[in-house]
Amino acid sequence: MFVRGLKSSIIALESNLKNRTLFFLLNFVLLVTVFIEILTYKHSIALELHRYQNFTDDILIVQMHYDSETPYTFSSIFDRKLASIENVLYTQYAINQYIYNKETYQLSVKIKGTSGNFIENYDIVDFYYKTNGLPNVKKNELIYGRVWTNEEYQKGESVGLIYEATAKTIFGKSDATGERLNFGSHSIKIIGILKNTDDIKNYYRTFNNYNLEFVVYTPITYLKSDSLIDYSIMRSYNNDILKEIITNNISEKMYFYEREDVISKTLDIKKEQLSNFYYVIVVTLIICVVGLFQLIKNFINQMTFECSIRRTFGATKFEIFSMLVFQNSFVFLLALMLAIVVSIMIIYAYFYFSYRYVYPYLSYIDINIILIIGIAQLILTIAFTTLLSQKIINTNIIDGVKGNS
Amino acid sequence: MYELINVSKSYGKNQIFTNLNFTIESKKFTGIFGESGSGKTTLVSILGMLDQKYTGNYIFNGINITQLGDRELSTLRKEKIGFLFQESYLINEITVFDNLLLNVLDKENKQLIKRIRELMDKFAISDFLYRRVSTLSGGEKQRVALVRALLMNPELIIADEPTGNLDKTNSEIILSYLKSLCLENKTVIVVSHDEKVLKYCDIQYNLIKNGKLERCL
Repeated sequence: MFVRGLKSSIIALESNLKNRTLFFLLNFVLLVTVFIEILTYKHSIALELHRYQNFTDDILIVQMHYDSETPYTFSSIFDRKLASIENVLYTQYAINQYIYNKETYQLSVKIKGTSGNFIENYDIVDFYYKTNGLPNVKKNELIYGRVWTNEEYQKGESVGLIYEATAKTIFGKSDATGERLNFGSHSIKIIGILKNTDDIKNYYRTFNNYNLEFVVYTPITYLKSDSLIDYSIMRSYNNDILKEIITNNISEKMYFYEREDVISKTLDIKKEQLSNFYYVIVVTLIICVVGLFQLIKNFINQMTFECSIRRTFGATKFEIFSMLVFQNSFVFLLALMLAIVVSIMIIYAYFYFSYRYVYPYLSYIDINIILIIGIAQLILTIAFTTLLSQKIINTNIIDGVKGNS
Repeated sequence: MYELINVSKSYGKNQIFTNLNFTIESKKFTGIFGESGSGKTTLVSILGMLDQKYTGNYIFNGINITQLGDRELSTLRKEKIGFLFQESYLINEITVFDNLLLNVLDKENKQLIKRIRELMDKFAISDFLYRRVSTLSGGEKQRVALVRALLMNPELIIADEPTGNLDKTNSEIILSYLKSLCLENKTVIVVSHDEKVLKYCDIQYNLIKNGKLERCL
């Protein structure tokens, strides 16, 4: 009997052609929409992953004075070597204002106890800071974007500047302004791109052996909630290491983040950023399911006459049911296969022409999700058809034939 | 012989038949006449096994069909009953051939194809076999519908207002043919309000408003 249902489906598939075509086209459009959204989501993740394929170094935050031309250091590798950031409170947020345009300053810094051989207890420390002792760093050349504004500086906004080489490696383009660099707990918006400068590169390498290509400059106020401690404080404690640093005029506040942390955290944050997109996919899927239900409902209503005629001339209820299931599944499968092919073609073409550098990494895209969704929708098609065909099967045959149902 | 025994049928509170007892004699042309709303179509549904939602019994040539399941009923309907309606009720988008084979499903059955050709020749529509139904005239469609009704060589032909949409000439052709079927040991039931049908009837019933059948001939 099931075979009769199948044969029955095929023998008059061209009847109700308009409805079947509409059913096919609407299914196709819905599926393509969902698939493109999913593929775009997947590609965005792959793109982000790609950005870190060649990312081999730690990343360095350098907190700078807002004019960016004379980077000052208020704290440095002490954070890693001598005192933990969490244990130091900086109460003088306006320290730069004291420094700026003045030769000598006397500042009050409240220190909370730290570990080891550094500061033991809360203390008020008076210290002196001389601008003529600051490093003479070459001027950075801005090639895209801008330096932070005074307002951003005052508010400690999470904005930053990176070198062109960093931009190319991480974002695949020189002008990465507007992109966000995510690592650790940071999400820094890139507002400017600096031309690579060997002088600066050498300057950092002299002291730290860090690869300058992975430096991000932020306003010094950005991390004000963390510690901000001037090495001059150490002068009071007569620390040899500090003296050495002072001697060498390290003048930026720097934080280091390891590569693995940068990659994993960035991917996590990227996924979180894309979570809105994920909601869009879910909403589209819901629309798709509701649309599918309505399509099948309309289609089955349109089939009332044909089914009643078939019933009149001897088709069993089961034959009618299997015919509807076969026909709907067949049309849906056609739409599904075409939708998969078209979606993949569109999305690959888009990424090929828009992000060609990431094209070799498309193997990261897992298209199984499309197949899973396709199969789920097929199951729903069968379920909806089963549910909705009950009306047609149990309708009064004469009413169905005469169009009174 | 086809018997309705104590058949009662209602649509909600609207009682159509109450304990209706009615016998159709085999190999006769039986005409059932009645005005609109008298229950003619309901009677066709019951006699044609298209409606099972009634009380009472329907004995179809010795078989009590009220005890049969959907599969057996469908088989009986397919093999023993031919239907002809006022409209042709063909599917316009497909060919005449596909319409005729809609439930037969065997396009390779040579005997069946031979019968289709014979019937098509008989009604002078053999050229239309592979044409879409939408291209046929009303009279041609009704003749195709008649071929469909007779295709499985049924013993009972039920016609519900078969001449309702036909001109006098086509009506005569259809009714004459239906009458001739009785000579081939078939039973014909025509439900109508068309007086043209009267002269072909062996037996005539009037269906009156309260769902009673009154034999007139």
